[in-house]
Amino acid sequence: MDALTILLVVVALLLAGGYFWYVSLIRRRNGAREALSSIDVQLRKRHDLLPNVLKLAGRFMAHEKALLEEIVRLRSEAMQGYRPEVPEEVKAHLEAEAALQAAAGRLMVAVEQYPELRSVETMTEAQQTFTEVEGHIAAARRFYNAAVTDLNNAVEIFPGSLIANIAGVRRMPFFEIEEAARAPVNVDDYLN
Amino acid sequence: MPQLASLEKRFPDLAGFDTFHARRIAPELAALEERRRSLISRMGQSGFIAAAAVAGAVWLHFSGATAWAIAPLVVAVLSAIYAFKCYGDLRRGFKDVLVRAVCEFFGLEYAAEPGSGPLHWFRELSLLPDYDRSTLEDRVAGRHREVALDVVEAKLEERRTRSSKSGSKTYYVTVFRGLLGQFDFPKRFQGRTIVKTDRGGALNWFQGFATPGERVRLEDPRFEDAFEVWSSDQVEARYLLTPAFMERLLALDGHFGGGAITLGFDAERLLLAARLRRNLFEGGSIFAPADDPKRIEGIVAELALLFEVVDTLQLQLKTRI
Repeated sequence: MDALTILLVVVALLLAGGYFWYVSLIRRRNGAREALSSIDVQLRKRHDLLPNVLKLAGRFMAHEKALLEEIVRLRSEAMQGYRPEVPEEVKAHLEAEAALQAAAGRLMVAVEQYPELRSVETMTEAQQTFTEVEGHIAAARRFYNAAVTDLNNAVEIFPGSLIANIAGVRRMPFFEIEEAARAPVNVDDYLN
Repeated sequence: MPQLASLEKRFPDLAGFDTFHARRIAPELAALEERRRSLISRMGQSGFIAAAAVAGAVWLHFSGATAWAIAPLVVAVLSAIYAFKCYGDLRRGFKDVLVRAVCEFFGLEYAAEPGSGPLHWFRELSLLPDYDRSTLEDRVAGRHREVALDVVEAKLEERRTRSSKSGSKTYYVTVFRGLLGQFDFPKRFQGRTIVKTDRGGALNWFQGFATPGERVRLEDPRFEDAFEVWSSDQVEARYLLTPAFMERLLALDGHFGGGAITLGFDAERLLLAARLRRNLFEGGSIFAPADDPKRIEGIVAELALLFEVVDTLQLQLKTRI
């Protein structure tokens, strides 16, 4: 076998390897986007639920006007469109959702201070549905974060970084819960 | 019954069992003990007759009257059959009286011979190995902590054929022995999720072929080491298998000795197949006195295994997260 044949075989192997790496990168990116769309399906449930909760809460929770207004603002921010292929827009979208989740969580804790509101059957059902929806969102977030970890590892590890650069495949942001939602609730704030 | 007091300490759900025992079980046990003594005496007599008949047959054979040896052999076989019948009657008696009564105390229904049972559900989700013959017994159904449960003991066998010069021989090999349980699950879901024991590289690959759904990789490394998960819905699988629930499943796997459980989530139910090495709900040895407290202790411990599924997995919680 002469040197030229060897060179051609090596180049062919490199091209084939590069192609398979490219295919795997695109698969992972599409997997992450699919996971992102499954988050959106679950987030839409939260968006649909909140107006009813806010309407009901507004009748009883006069002292929480600021919180209710904040939730309305965050909801409209979170509902704004974004392009899934632009990581910066995805990040902004997920941050808006995380902020909305934290505020909605605060609202559900605040509801506990209003026994009249709690005794309304619609509110009890809304709270249960909210808990269920949050469970689905948490599951979708875990699915999305697993897909993003897969993609980001492939994009960052050489030679994936090289191929990703050529193919225009970029890292995607994780869906992280806002610090406020992670922090323990100060019961005194609500029991005074 | 003083011995039951110590049992109540170990199993708090047994509070009030003493009174129940005195009222419901003790009279039946007294009758059963009388029957036990009588049947054991008959078994002894049958055994003695069978042994004497065999000895007679051997003596006739060596005396050159082999043709006459058939008669004592027939007597030996009939005596042995009668002894086995007595043994079977006693065992069924203990099951009927003791297991049924203890189940009744816990508000559960008991059936020694459950009929066809739930095998088709387990088969549909490929939770069981392939089998050709099934034997079901000891069905326990009812509620524990408001969670509906329906559990049956199963023995599944596969037919195999061995070929040799003298021809082929068919025989059966046990491929599963243990509990098949259906439990209410507190979350609403629509897809199917299956959790199987991790068997290692190539075997997992083969398991994947036989299991419906897409492989789900979860973030808990301990859980991933112990189990393999498939589901028709990736998000729903994670909704069911939360980090807390994964911990509980690992704990439950520990209760059953590790690597012994397979689960399916379908139609808002949890299906559990747990391999066990021993036969449950037998009511103890027929040679021990009927009122031996170890009998009750054994049955309670076996029922506790079923309750363990509900308690360890906290199926009674309606948090939905």
